[in-house]
Amino acid sequence: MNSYTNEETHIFVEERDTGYSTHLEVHSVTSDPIQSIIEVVSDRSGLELAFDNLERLQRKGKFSFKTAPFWSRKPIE
Amino acid sequence: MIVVLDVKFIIAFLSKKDENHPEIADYVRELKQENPTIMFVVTNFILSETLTRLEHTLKISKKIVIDILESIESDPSIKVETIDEPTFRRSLHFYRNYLDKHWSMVDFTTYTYMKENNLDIIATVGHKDAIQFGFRVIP
Repeated sequence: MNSYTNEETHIFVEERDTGYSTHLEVHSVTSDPIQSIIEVVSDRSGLELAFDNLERLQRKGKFSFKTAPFWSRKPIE
Repeated sequence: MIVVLDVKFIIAFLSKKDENHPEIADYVRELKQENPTIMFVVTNFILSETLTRLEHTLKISKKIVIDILESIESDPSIKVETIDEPTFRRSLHFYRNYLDKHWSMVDFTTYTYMKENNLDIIATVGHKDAIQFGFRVIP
């Protein structure tokens, strides 16, 4: 299991159907939630589910995240 | 350096399907490298029209459109400015009186806002005639 503790990291979320992708800056994460996200993203089938899981974890106070700045975005396919 | 963005420029940057995307993406990268302190301005009218086109013309899901909105709001180099009632009224006046121009009402709000705030650079795709208002048009 990867360990991310109290440091900023980035995760990339990609929607397989449309190729749409973005990245999120994740702050103050602990190993468990970030591993959950990685599993969700690698396993899943849609961007919305990943966002839903991120939001659920954020509501639990596990970590905070914000959307990447506009000019850093990957384009919409 | 302050650059006002228009809808087509933003869409071209965002969408790979846009024919101008490669040019605009490269241009933005170079512009930011050459001008590290550059600021971009988006009016509330431009922002509204951009979100509408993304969702209803390009058929992007609302969740992703909101994600794009948040990325605009969170970008320290982008400022969203509100066009107030007096500026809107003056824009309507120009819209009524420039019968030979095929600019949209949103275009007129942008141009009026720029004039009133001494802004003279606009990043646009397909509105090269904004130069007639005395603006420098990029790219």
